Amino acid sequence: MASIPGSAGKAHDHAHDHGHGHDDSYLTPKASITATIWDWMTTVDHKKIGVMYLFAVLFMFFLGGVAALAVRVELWEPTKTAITATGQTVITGQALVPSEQTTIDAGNNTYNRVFTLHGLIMTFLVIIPSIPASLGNFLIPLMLGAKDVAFPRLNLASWYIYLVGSLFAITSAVVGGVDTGWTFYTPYSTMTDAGHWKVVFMILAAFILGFSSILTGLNFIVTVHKLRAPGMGWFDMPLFVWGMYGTSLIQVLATPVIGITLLLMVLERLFHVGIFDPRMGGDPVLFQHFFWFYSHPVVYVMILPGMAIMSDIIAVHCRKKIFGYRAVAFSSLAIAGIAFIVWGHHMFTAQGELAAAIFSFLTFLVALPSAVKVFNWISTLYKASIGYTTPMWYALGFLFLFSIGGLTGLFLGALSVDLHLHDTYFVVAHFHYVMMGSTLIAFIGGIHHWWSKIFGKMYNDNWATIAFFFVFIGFNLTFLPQFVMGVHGMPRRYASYVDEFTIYHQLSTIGSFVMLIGFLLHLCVFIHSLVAGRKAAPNPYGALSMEWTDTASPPITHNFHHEPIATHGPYDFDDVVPPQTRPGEFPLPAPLPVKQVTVVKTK
Amino acid sequence: MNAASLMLGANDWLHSFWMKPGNSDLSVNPDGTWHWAGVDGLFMYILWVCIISFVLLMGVMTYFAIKYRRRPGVAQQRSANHSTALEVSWVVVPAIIVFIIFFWGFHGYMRAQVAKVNAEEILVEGFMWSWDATYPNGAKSPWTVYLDDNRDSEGVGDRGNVPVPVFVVPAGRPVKFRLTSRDVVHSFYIPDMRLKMDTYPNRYTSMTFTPINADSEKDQAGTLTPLTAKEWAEPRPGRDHYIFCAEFCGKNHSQMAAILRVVTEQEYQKILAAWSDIVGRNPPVEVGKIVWKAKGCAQCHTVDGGKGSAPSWLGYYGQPLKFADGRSLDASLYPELQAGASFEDVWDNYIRESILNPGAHLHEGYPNQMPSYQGKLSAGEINGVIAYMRQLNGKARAIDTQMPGEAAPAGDAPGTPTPAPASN
Repeated sequence: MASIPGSAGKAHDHAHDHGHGHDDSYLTPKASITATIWDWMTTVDHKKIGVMYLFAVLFMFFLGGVAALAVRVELWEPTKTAITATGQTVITGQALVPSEQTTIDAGNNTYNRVFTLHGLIMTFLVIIPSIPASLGNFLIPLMLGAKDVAFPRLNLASWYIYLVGSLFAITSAVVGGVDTGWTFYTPYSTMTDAGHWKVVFMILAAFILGFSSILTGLNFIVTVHKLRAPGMGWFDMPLFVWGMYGTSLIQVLATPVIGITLLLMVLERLFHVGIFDPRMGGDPVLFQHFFWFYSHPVVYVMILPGMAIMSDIIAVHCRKKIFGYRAVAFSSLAIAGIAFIVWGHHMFTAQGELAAAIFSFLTFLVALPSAVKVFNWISTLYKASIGYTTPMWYALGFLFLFSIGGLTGLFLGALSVDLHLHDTYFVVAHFHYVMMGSTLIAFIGGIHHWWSKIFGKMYNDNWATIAFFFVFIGFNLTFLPQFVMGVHGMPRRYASYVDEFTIYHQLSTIGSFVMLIGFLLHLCVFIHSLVAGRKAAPNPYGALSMEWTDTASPPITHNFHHEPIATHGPYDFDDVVPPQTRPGEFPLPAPLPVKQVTVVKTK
Repeated sequence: MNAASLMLGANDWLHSFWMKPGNSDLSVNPDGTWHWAGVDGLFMYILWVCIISFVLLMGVMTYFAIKYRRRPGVAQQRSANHSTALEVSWVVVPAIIVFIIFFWGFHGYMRAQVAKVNAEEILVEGFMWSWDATYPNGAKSPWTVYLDDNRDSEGVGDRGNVPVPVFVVPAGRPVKFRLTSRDVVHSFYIPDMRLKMDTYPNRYTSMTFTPINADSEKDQAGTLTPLTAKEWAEPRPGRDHYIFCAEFCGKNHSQMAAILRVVTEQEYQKILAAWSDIVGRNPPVEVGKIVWKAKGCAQCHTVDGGKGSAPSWLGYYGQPLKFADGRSLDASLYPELQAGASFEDVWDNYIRESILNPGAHLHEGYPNQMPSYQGKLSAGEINGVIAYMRQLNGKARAIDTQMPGEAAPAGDAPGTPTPAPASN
């Protein structure tokens, strides 16, 4: 590699128009607190913007998690009315409203608003921006050997648009929240809370957040095309960047559709323009088509970044080139492409026979590239040198959970079985295994993997691994019973239920609190690391991509002292001794027997 | 025990764990055993595909994860990082498996879409938050139950005070539900039939199946909660199945349930004959009670003084009443009434008006959210509701509790518009 970041402090001769020392870490504070705050607020540094996104997303994850726990607590037992011996009417099983002087209606009403809030926060404020906006922002320029993203000011604008969108969503929630469900199905969503502005505010929040996604995606596409370091071809990029590239394509192409749809809804609510409401001559199924034309591709906006992180974690902690690098890269693009033509599988109970058959067929096509990725990751473990760090545990957890999430999708793609399972807890469990069990697990794994790079501090790996097991076990305890419930006929979005589902709901609620313990442990580990963590080496895991090999931990303000030059692929662990590591720490594997040399692709 | 019978045993155990017994030709044979061509068959095929794939994947992963863990002093081996044969095979084999699933699922789906020629067609309308079924002879169901057997008494029920309607279908004959909605999107879901279909306010959708078994629940082991029908002198034979709303439709979505009762063909014909003439076969108070339960009144109005999203009917009739616009209930509101009409005549008129045009005079403190029942209730049913409210508040007249024909004709034959039942 061209430059050695360990030589920080060496004089540089290229000109700078900045007043600060460009060899300092990007985290170095300014002279005063206000100057530091102002510096962060006006920064165009992709690293600072990424870190701000990281904290914002984690905070929103906390809020959405509280709503999720509230949902689980309410569902601990079914709502019942009983008349006591003295003739009093007593309502039990309503945890979200005071038990005295309440009504069934009040309990239902509160529950509906809480689960909607959970869905809206987790979808629009957590999962969609989570990996691309935080880790993607931080890592893509570093992985490509670039100084920043292609449009740094646009990047800052995306961050402020995200903040404005969040503000709209939180305002709407604070004044009472909406009960539309995160899917905003019409005509209910254009009727409910008639005359109140909070629903319009929530719709506008999703609309505004869409622009943040579009601009971030655009930025990444241009960055990947134009700012790769000299010598870095498309197939020399880390797979993380490939995943982000696929994600960005979908964001740029699909998000405008939801923007238009949400605006039409606002028009219908405010000015009674009949588009989706049949009483005004509209069509509710049209809304579902518009909505899922965006929201299905967005499912892959959520999962592709998770897959992107996995490829990197597995390669680095196994010290092995990802098996079938090109297949993994192309499957990202295949998923991004097919994602646009499967939206109808959310509507098997709402559309004609021919459309249902076509969408079912296409849905099974998208299963194949996802399966290919799992096969490739598991094959990568073969003859690897697996280091059991927290990120690697998260990678194994991801493979376990994503396999369940993917395989249960087969039930839902099959037309006749989907008529039974659609809109039940089976679907709830399935998409939680994909969205939370895969994307969020990958996100947390990724945070651990790059934590030392981002903050320059190590964390306590043992405690983080213990926290992982709480999260992993809690997650399965929460969502496995929901598969059973769903097959038994428990519909989703129910504030109460018939008695036979009680045991599954209670297991699920217990699981959600086990997960809470895990997440709180993680929080403690992170805080401990920031306060008292050991200083991180530039490349603690012996990785070979540029964010590890060519800059310090944390990176300097300008990322690299010199423009780095790619001299090897990101996963060529068989041939390259990782720089920035002690001799013998990560030895090259033994040479191959002569006759097998032909099948090994080396650079 | 050989391997085959072990597999079959495992198969049966898995099926009984995952699926409650089905009761239509989409999942079971006429003798009640589940068959491979149906939904349950495909479910089990996919379940086995999942179990085998998952065990293989996780087994290989665990083996590698243990065998190739990093150990000090043990050098990593080199290995290939690409294999065309392997990579092609793990695309082709899953492709074959999933395309079998596709065709199998499409086959089962079409069976649920295309009704057989002699299907009994029943119109189902969803509304916030109940279901209404109309039979070919125009009959509607007056039967209701509470979902929890242990609490099956007036005013006390699982999931609130709300009784849910009971619909009957004949065993052994194809049934086609034509589905629509009066307001927002709902979804008509019968878990035991393995079917659901969305209902839309601007179109008809449909589902079709042949119910198999009309044996009483109580004879069967391991089935869902038995339900009793106290409205009838003796429990009717029939097998009960939950109907749920599966598409979120607002506040009381989770209470929008119903019961599907599969009865014999003979029983079915008797029931339909009875249902087609509720007003002619019950005293007005009973008609009112049936309407309250079966037509969605109970979703908002309690009859025990408990709170709901609309005024309770207990302690209501005959009391002074204030409206949202500040006026109060008196004869001046209804100039068409004869001079000297009693306060109760005014009340009768007000109730009739509120049923047909709910927003005309709005009760103070309640939103204008009730749908109009214009065309949904006959004059005899409206009269029954008024009689029931009179009885609840201790103001019942003799005629209210008499069977039709026992006393002088009440002069409210269905279809005759009457400004007020003042002649009572």
